[in-house]
Amino acid sequence: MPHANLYDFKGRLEVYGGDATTTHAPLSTDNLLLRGARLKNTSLIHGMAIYTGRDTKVALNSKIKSNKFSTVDMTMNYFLVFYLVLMVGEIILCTALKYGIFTQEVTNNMWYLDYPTDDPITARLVYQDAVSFLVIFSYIIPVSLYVTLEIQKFLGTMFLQWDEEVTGTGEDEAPKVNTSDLNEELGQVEYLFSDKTGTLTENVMNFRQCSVNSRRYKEMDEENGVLVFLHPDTLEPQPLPRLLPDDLVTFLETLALCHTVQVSSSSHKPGEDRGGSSEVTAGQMEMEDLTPVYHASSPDEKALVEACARYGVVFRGSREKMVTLEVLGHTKTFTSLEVLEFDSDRKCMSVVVREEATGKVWLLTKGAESSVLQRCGAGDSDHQHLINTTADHIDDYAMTGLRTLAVGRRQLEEKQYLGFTEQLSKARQMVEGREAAVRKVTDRMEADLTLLGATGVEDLLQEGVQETLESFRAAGIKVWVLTGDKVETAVNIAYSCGHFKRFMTILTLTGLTNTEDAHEMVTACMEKSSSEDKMYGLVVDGSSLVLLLDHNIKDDFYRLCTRCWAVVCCRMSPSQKAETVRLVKNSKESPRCAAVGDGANDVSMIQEAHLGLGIMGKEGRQAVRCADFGVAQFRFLRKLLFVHGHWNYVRLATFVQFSFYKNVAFNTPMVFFTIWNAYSTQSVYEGLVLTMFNVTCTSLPVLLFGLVEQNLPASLLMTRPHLYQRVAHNAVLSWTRFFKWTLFGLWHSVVMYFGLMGACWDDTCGLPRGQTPDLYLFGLALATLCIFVVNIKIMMESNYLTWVFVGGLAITFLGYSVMYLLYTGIPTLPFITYEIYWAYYRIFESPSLNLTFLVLGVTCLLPDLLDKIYTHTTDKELRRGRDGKAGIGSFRCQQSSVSDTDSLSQQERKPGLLVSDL
Amino acid sequence: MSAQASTEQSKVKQSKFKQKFKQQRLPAWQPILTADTVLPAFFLFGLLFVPLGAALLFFSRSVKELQLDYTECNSTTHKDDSGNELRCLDVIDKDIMDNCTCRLNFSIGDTFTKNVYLYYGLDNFYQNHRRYVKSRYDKQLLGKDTTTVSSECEPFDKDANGNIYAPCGAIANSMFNDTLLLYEINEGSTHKVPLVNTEIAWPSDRKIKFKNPPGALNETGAFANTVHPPFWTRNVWELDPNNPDNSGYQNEDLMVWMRSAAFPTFRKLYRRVDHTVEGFKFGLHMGEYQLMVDYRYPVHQFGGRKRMILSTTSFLGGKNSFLGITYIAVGCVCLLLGVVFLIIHIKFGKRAVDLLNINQNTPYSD
Repeated sequence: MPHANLYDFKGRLEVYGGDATTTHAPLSTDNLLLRGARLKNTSLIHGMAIYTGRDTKVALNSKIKSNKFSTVDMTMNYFLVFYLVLMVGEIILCTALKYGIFTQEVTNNMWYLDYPTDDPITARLVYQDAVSFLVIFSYIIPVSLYVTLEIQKFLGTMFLQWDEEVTGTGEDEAPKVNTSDLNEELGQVEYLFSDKTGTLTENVMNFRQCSVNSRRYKEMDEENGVLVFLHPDTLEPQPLPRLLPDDLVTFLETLALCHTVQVSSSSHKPGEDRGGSSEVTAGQMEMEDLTPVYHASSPDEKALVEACARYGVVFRGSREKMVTLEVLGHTKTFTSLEVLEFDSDRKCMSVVVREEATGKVWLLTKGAESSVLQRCGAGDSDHQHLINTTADHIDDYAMTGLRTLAVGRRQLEEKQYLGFTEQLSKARQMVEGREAAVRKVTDRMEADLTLLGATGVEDLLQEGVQETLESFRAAGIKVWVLTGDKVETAVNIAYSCGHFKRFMTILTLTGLTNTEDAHEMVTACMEKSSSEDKMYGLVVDGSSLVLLLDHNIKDDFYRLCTRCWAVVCCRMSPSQKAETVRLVKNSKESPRCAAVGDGANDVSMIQEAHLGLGIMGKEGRQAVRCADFGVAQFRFLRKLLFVHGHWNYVRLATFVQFSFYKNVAFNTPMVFFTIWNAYSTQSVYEGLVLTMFNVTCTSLPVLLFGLVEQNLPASLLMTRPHLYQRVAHNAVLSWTRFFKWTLFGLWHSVVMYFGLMGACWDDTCGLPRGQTPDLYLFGLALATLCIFVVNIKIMMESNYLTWVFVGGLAITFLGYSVMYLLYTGIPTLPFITYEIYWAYYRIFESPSLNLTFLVLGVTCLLPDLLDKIYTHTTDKELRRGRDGKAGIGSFRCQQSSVSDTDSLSQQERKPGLLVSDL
Repeated sequence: MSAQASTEQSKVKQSKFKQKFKQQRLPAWQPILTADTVLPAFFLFGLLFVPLGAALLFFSRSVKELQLDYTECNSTTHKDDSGNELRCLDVIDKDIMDNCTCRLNFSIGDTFTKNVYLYYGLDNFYQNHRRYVKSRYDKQLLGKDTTTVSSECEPFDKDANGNIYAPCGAIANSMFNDTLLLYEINEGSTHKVPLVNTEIAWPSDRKIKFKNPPGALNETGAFANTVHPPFWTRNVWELDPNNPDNSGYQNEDLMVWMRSAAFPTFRKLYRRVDHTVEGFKFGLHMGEYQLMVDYRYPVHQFGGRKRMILSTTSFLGGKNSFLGITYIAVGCVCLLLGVVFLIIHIKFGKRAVDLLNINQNTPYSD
């Protein structure tokens, strides 16, 4: 049956020969070519299509990705519903008033309207009126908002992609933006789920230490690769003898054989005999330069094989099961008999080789020490002692943050070996229960091992990880590290990257085996973490997590997690990572979650989170492709979140608020006017301005605001992470803010409509020669005032007036003027039939109208100004951003926003002094 | 060479701008509006607005205006059986075609210096009603379309015989048709106040928007196959028998009426006092005057009122203290705010600002 698991395929091939004999062959993933795969290095294969179309693994894996909605989008919909309800209320009220006050009798008396009629008022008539009201009141819904929002979001991503400060040094390492829908979500992150390997660390493995036969060796100089012997007691480095000890050579040989590394074909000319004679004859001094280029799916293996090559055991590649090693200048060949690949259950891998020179068959195993040490035969006390000291060494390595592996081997008798092969091939041909059967055989094979030693491989921390994590913490973002590494390594990395602090109390929930235990542990941890004034860290491992995600404990576990500042989850499978994200995401508070990772194993987590972030890592770009945003390094996330996220959120949220506000300011006079036109659904505005108000008259300045506004300077946002809290929890789009904007809109509409009505009452707002204005002149004056007021309002909202923005304002005002100068001024046919003809020119002829604009404009914006003064006065950060300069503002080129921690700590001290002064 | 250099320079400049734009480092004015920095602005606004408001109020006060509600004026032509004067509104209520005249005496206490305008004002008349506003056909009024009529004019588009109403529509049909005449009463004798009925409409209406169709202004020429609107008693070309240039669609009374007023209370320019005539060179002198109305226009059905308004104008238009008062009020608020901010500034200075600044975001010292 077709299923989605990429790494699982079981089949059996039966070939019927001509003489009715059948041949059986097992089929596994090794025999399967997935759709889109490219086959190389062969001229001919025989193949068979197994799955097609919807049954292919690609199709089965491409689950319908649910669309990610940003917080702003959702809030916007609430606002929209609010205005829809308001609009419906207005319509119902006005329709009711129309039929309540202007009854048929009243209207019949208004002889100038129509001939009197006795027709009954039908539902159809009422419906028609309601629809007419809908037509003129519908302008309260900013329909164009969705379009301009898309434009704003799309153009907003450009700035992110252009930003050189978050561009990596390598080729094609500019930030990637895969969706323009989630720009502002960068400013809303509450939880950050981070992968460790490749995300926090470089995923460049370096062989650092090894322990062979209870002796410790350390690589001293990374570049030249000098292995030194560490004195067992003093740990003083001592140079190795020129002739390496035998046990070390065996250990290196094992490492050089037990892997799936391939020698890059580019360093071998085609047709060249294996090993290549020229390379063999090369002097040992030049070994470094002639080290073949290795390729491996696992960076650990690569690091190990490379290290072996540095110390004289060079893996020269394999050809038709013949493996060539160059051991201290002598070539040794082995026949590779069997490879038992790594799997996460066994946590180890093995190869079976025959040494050509002696004919001995070796089973070589390397893997996680928990697995390998178990498989070591008890042997004599010496061996037991070796196991214990090696285990101690491994613990030491883990404490220093190294990734550890244990290495062992077993000599197989020829007969033994043949028995195993037969069992293995039988097991591999089974269709049902194949894995269990194979596992049984391999368990029997990988037993009674002789421990050779252990390795410690270093995974370098990425640049700036400590500072970035520190600033995230200061910004109130809770960071969870999810990793596949084992507990000790993960915890050590967590300490070394500053995720865990020495003063933190670390709670541990590992190794849980049943639900009752888990429940008990969680309760115990809850009690332990009840004290408020301490900071807590939490360590969970994958197997425990399965239990903890059980429905009964889930809530308790989540509550425990929220109490902890830092959480580390180890031994996580990709799906567990996603499940952890889901746990937090779907909790009661439903915090905004971001997930960051670099590899294919992070993809499910990235897709699950509200915001997926990809790191362009060594493991390819799959994570970046699936993520919403991709950056080259983890530290770039700081600017991405603190600056881009903050700005984008403020820009977009203000954009949304303003779009609703301006329509309130524009449309509410229409409702007022209804009272003065007998609820006859007459619009106060003329058609053109109704259409163009949202399209050209008010769109450009707010769009530019949405692109270039910087409410706080970048340098400030970088150095003062707590500013991130200002926009957290969708602060700018809270209902309080929304009603504030709406109230401003109402105030503006009230001032504009009633002010203009007062000034023009009984047609006294004079035109020259005693002439009087009309409906269209009034409407146009109102619209003109409204356009000026709302555009100046957005200018007042801005804390960062660039020429671009001011230019946009100027273009808008100019464009509006030109539009109406033409529309009401062209003396040809369609235009002169419009009643609004010449009205715009008449506005300029009337000094009283222009003076009215001035005073009403000031009256409208006075409360806004007071609000702004209040905000600016109480906002110390804003003034800090202006370098403490007094005065009405500063004209300033923004300095580079790269921050240093020194200035951060200095600045943080200032307010402290202030508090104590008071 | 220099030109090349300069273009290169401009290119460099341009790319610098581009770079700054892309890195979001454009130079910008970043105003910080705190109480002490905007203090001068408030005083400036206050000191500007209060005197300006006073001046506006002065101008508005200098406008002389006299309003006379003649809705319920008594007829001089019709008496009831007992010899009491009837109200004209009752007369025309009985028979809309009846000619009812009423006279109202009023006195001007203060000289109306020129220019003096005569308006009629209507109250509770919804010229801005949606059905009313659109009930017109501008192409007809432009003289461009004499054979068809827009459906917007319904039901005042055609008569029962299919003849087009000229002009069509509810607005034209309900045109104000009272005749207002002013007399100056001087020692018992009455003199007609000279009134002009031209240049009372918008210049754009006079010159562009209203044109008679080609042909002679009669029922066979320009207005062939048309009839006057149902509520009219005259044909459109008879609106001003004395001045053919002011007749037909080009009649300025019609133009003035066709501009729908914005509110149910409105005034429309009716006549200008002719200041070229001896005795009226400087306006209207103080003294006794009489308004004679040919009362035809019914308004009491819908609770309307009719007014005669005699007014001079300032450069601000008619008499309206609203603007002046608003300026003074806003100016005072600005001054008040300025004083409040000044007090805050002097009394608390920077310390107050800092005090206000401690919020949940202020980091504690470690």
